[in-house]
Amino acid sequence: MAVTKAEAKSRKKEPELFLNRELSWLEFNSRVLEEAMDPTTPLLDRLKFAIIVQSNLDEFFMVRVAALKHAIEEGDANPDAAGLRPRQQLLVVSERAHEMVERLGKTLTEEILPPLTEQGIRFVAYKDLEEPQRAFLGRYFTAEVLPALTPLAIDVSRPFPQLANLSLNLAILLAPPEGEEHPRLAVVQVPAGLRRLVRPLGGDGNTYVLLEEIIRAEMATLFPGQKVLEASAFRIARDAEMELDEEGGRDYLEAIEDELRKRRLSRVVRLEVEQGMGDTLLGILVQRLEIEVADVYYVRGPLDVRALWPLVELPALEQLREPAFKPQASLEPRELTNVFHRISQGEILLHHPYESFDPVIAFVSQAAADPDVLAIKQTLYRTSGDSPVVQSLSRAAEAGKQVTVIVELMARFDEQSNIKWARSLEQSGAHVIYGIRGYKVHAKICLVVRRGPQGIERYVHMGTGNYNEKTARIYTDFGLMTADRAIGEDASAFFNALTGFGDPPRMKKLSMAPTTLRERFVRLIQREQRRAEEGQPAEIRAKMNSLVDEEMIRALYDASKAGVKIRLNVRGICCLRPGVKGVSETIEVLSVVDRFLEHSRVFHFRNGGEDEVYLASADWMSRNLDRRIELLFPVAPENRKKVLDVLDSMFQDNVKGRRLQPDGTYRRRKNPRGDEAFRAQVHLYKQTQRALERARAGAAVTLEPMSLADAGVTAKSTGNS
Amino acid sequence: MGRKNTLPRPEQAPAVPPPAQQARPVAVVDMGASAIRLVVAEGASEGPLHLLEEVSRGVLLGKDTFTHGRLGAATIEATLKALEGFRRIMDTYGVIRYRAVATSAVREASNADAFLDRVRLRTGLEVEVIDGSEENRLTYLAVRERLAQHPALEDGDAVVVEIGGGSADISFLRKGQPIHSGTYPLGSIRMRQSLAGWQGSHEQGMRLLVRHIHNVVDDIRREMPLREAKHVIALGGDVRFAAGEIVGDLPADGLPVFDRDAFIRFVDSVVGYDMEQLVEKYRLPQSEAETLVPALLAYRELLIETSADRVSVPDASLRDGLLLDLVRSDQPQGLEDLRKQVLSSAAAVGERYRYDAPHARNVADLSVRLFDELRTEHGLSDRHRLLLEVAALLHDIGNYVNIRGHHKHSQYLIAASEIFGLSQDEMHVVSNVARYHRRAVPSKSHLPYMVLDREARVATNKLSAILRLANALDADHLQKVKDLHVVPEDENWVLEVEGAGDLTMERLAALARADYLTEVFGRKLTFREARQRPWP
Amino acid sequence: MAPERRDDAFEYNHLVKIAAIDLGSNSFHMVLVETLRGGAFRVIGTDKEMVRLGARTLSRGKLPASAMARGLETLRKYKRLAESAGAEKILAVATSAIREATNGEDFLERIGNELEIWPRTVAGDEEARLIYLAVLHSVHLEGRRALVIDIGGGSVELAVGGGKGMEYGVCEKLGVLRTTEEFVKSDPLSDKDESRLVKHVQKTLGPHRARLRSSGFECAVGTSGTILAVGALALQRAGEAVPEPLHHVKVSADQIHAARKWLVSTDLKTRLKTPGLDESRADIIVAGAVVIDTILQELGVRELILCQWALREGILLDYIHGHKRSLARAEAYPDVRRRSVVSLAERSQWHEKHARKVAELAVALFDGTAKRHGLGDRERALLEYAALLHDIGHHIAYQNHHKHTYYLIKNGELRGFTPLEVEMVANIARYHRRGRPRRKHAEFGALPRAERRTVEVLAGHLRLADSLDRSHRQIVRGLEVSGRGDTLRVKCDVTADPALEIWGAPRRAELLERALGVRIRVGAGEVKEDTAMPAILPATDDAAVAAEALGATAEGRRVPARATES
Repeated sequence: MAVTKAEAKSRKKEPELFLNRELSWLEFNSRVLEEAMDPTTPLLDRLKFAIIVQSNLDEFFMVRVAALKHAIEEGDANPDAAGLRPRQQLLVVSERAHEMVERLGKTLTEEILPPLTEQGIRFVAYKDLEEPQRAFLGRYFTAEVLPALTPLAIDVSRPFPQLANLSLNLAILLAPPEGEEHPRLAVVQVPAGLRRLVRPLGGDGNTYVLLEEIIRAEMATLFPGQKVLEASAFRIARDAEMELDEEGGRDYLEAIEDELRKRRLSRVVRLEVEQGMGDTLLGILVQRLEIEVADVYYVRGPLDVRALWPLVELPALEQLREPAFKPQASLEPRELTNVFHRISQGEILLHHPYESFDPVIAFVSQAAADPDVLAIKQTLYRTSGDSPVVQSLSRAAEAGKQVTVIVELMARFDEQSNIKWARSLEQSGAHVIYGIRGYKVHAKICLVVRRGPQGIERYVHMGTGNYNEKTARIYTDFGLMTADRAIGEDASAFFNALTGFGDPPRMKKLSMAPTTLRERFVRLIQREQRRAEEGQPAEIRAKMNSLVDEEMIRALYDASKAGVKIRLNVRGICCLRPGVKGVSETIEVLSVVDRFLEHSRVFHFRNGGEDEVYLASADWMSRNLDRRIELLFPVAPENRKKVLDVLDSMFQDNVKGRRLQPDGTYRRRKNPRGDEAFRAQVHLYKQTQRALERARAGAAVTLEPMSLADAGVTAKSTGNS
Repeated sequence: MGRKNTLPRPEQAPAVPPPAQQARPVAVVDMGASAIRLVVAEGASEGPLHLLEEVSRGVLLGKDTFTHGRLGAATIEATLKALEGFRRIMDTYGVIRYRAVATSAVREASNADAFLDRVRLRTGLEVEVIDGSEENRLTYLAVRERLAQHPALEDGDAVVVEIGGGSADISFLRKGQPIHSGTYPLGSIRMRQSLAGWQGSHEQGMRLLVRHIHNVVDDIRREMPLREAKHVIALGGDVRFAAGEIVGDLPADGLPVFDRDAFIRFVDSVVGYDMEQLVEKYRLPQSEAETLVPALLAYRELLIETSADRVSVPDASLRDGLLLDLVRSDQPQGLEDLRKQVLSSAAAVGERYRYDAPHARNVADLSVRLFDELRTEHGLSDRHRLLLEVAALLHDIGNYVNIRGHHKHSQYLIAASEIFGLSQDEMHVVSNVARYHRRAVPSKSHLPYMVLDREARVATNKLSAILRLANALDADHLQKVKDLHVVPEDENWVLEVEGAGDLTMERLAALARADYLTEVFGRKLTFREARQRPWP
Repeated sequence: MAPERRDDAFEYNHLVKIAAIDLGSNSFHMVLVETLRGGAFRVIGTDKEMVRLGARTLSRGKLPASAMARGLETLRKYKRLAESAGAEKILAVATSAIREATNGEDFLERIGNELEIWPRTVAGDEEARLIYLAVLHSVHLEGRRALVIDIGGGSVELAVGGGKGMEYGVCEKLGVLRTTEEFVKSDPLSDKDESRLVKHVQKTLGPHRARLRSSGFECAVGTSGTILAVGALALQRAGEAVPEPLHHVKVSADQIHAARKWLVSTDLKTRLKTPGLDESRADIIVAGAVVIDTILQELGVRELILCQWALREGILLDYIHGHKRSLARAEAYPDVRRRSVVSLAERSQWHEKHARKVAELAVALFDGTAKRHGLGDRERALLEYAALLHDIGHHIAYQNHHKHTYYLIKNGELRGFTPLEVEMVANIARYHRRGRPRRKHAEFGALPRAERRTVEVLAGHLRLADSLDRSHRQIVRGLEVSGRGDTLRVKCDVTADPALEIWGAPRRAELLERALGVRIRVGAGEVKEDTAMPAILPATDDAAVAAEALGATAEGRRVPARATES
């Protein structure tokens, strides 16, 4: 039984036992940076990681740093679990952030861009161009760019213009006119609508000029008759008033009264400037943007490297990339044509992206087509309207099946497009629910109710990742398809609760946040603890994206004290401090950052030899356990080994795996006993391939006469024949 | 036996009708005092039922009714919303056969009719308000199913107790047959309400509760021999919660059993807590915390009255009973069982008023014989046959009050009695039939007769006509007539009786009492002592 | 409350069933009774056949074969009925007609041989004694000396006595059949015939007149079918209601005289058509009326109390008394009313302790409020009886038990009450629970104005008294009523913490407050025993202990389980 509020209060804070969340996140981002810095990583992949680091940072500032600043304004109260008050946190954070930006720029300019040049991918400075090319760019400027520009002369009396968040701008210092001694400031935003990488005509294939260079060159045309002293690029990040989400989505904070929101919106939290920017210009910006010097970041090389993404996807140049991993088809084509039949013979466990996402697509589309299917109920977390899943659902609805969809819409920006497809779903007769007040529906589950010969059958798909065939190619996730009776009933009950038809139920096999999941986790951990206390071997292995929740961490500490062996594979933030004498000695924390985003949540409890393995949509974060609808589901014995093998290799990784040190830093595991390099993701991919080949070979050709139904022939067509 | 409703095929009908051989899922809805619940299940009349959905929605109907006597707007709206959801779920499975019932919380609400009408309009669900005895019957069905072959039903006496929000339903079983059942003012919500105004200390409040319970239990004791019960079967959420706390995880057979002292100890510990402590300690929702203590105290007091040393808490509910009833009741077995239960309960009432059992039984036999002989003529149902049998068994109990006008007293006593498995309405028919077993015949000037609806009156006429004749055939209480046949001869009937010895008395009595039969069925009746019939 | 008491609530104590047959010259009566604990009995069946045994006998002095056959057939039927009803004893008694017939003994022989029933023939004054005994047990004599008149078919019995029994009995050949045959020669009856009959009666009574008149009877009771029939007719003629049952009803001599005048003036056809007049008596009632009217005049009786019990009940009582069963009760309850109230209560498995306590408290309240309601002993008694019976409805069903109580009292054969009194007792008990009496309640509305008020006042007392024993544990020992002006204080003398009682009191006092137009404050005096707040519900294995434990101390020390039982 979980602790009561009273007990929780009575606990004394032990800051030394917790790592600060923001620093841990920065640690994660620097692990990504390491990938960019790693000479063994192919060039374009290094560039990719560099870009990821950049965009991660952008979000981090807009969200976490902004939040810290806000908290400081609010009075700098409530230290975090690690005992740091907001101001203290902000100090360390910005120091680390500066280092990171420094390293990123260095890596880019010294280690990535030069070798790219050798490969023929060059950035040319405007001055180095030949005449005809300049002429071309000049025409290009007047035709395409100029119309999109709005130079703003800024005088002291007028308020500073609202520059768009994350936009790239040029700050221009104009010489003071007659009779004045102060130079004047002007700002030009680099049009976001135009490509930043411009190919000058005649230059060989992969020669580029950056858009801001062109504008800078044509300054004179912008400010006729005025003397331009300096023109330097800068970029600002604002408080975006949102919550970070490891799935690329953006959760906007609810319930911030408008007054506050305006203030926060306007606040600039970071200023990036080119190396060369002069002090005068910088001084004016700092003053006019009302920021502190600590928020200024000098950037080596181009600002906002996200602009370089097109290079990452350049055709050819395969030698500059990791070999592509093609998802394997784990179902026979014949099985794929009748997924339900296959599932009824045994639970299917899919490991994406090693295994293809097609069976899941088929699951929904066949449900839509199958005349015996009565109902389809599904959660959709941030899916785009063009996803085949959505299309199947509306087909099902049109076919008169009862379709219930609980959608969690994306961030405000693209809400409109979401509303559109959701509405069209409704029009086709589906029962669409736009989220649950106060909770984000984060569980990934699809229930199909079908009338079979022996009565009602239920088929359930549950996953650790979204119904999104695109991310399914780059995120590692597990998906489970089962016909298990109890799970089917739980699934029905789950949807009844979400649709408000019933109260949150007592479930047989599943656990659901925010009602029972937290307690279930704690009970499972405490069970191992009891076994350890009884002297049995006890072990917990868990894999997740982030580990932040204090109660869970304390539960792990208690288990560790009892001697439970605990191995955690946490890709991102981890506030648990491992290896502390008498607290977490038996706890080991690993993080794997590799080409695929480690995303699956897996939980393994030794349970005195009767291993239990669970998958979940939830991390061990308070947000997941308390403020979201999440699901935990068990893996049937026949599939346990598959999952355990995955865990094994995740912990074995000594190439992309890094161990968390008691001081909160991460170190690559220099492989002990010098055993050869082991890279989990590669291993898993190869293994999947082999396994499937073996399976196919093993399944010697069998000739199976088909029934009409198998052959997909409908009664009508036979009637005609 | 309650009606079985059918839904119009929902507009969101399932894509295809089910294969013929396979039964459609059925559904039951139960509107209780603190929640409304839906169960969808499938399964043949044989074999186990397979539950497809079990949905529960907390709606405090009882709180409204038992406090203000009517259902509040908010509660009604919440209920309608939930029912709409239920309806959707039912449609998912293409449910067509269902039964939806409401119990005391709705039964006693002054605005019940308006409410149920809105339910019909909004959800298309026909909700039937059932009374205590029907509740008891249904719950009993469920218990019997869960506890098949369990000693509690095989040998000795057992009490089945369910403390609901509005009242307590209690049945007394002898060898598994209910011989008495009743509804008593021990509703947990009601008791909690009664304390609402209490200013004194928590302890004193609890003591008041116990004393109240104790009074009621005293009276229950006078209606059934609690002491003789060797088994106690406790139902209801509160006691199931207690079972969970006492025995922990469910045993393999899914039937928690705990011994009396453990239970008493547990109750004593719980009684100590006030509401907040309960919510905190057991993480109970407020509404459950409120009813827990009154309910447990009631179970406790009843348990103490019995000689049982253990309590079984089967997971059997009104809903399960409804379900079984829905699936099984048309089975001959189901009918025969019901008949047994009803008759044993009726016999218990007879005993209570010291009836002349042999005479009663004989008249009952003759009555049903006549009923069967005249089937084609009266066109009544088996249900009516049962009512006739009960009326015949009890037609003389009025003697207990006073020999003078005893037929009227019989009517009064029957109307006031509860017979397991018969609804109040049915009891009124029975009481009228019994009232007309002698002297006056049904007349528009008789109020209790006129309050019956037309259909019931017609049935009463036919049944009492039969009873009068049957009673006359045992006029001198010697059970001489063994069997009889009605032989149509041209326009009239010949009543052939087989019996022992001189049947003169019987003949005279019968002819004297045949008048009404003739009036009702329009046939003259002549009397003949049957010669040995050619076949056995 | 001790377990054993509880359980006998269910097992019925074994009661003897007895049949009593009265072979009258006009009709044969059988009454089937069930003796009650302590010797009272209740009728569970009656039957009556007009066999007209004596129809021709009395002149010829010989029973005709046809009459004997009718008689035998009837007795055979009675025997069957009695046996199938489980009667353990059949008492039979033969009266005048048979006594006188020359072949009477042969007839009795035959009865004995064929049916194994041996009727005893009762000599004249013996018959009178038995009748008197019956009256003594069914009429509320309030210790008055009574004259009992019974008009049979062959003879008339006159008996005078006191509370102990008959002291002086007379039996004369003035039975209706006899007199009808001898004197009724015309229809309507001619003045000549009438005066001949009157003279005959006066002459026959002559020798006894002085003795009877001087015997000092304070009231007269009339039994026998004839007298009841005349009485009913008299009331009807006088435009009064004829209550059913026609028991314990008073008829004035004048009303009877009027009835006689009317009867004498009508012919048989008219009488047959008269509603309420049993056609089997239409012929003989004329003589009956003349005889009784004459007797009343001769003995100067102003008013006659009708009584349904007669010879056969007398026989029964005699038998039962003979077997010393009822003596105990008779001593415990010399008063027939209390006797029948208690036996009705027992029959209904009453909560004796509770009922008696409530009765006690109700009466105490009544006395305490005497100045306010100004009611007297009669009402006080009714209140007590109502209190004793207030819960018997439980026996029928828990729900609406107050209405069931009403029903049982109303129909439960209470003896010694006038129909109106029964109606009042029933109403008082009916309102012990809730609601205030309203005229629209049929039973209450039917009461005369004055009685309605009385019932409301008494019900008010009963209701408060009942709430003062709400816990059924006789915590309130007694009470004192004090206070003047518009506020009454009821101070309870308690043996334990009366929380439940006091808590419920204010609401339950409203009816009385309204009835008396006062405010009532109920409070408890010093608790006599140690009854500090208990540790809640100590674990226990006995209901009684659990209940008693409520009186335990904070340290959980328990008061002995049966403390308040003893």
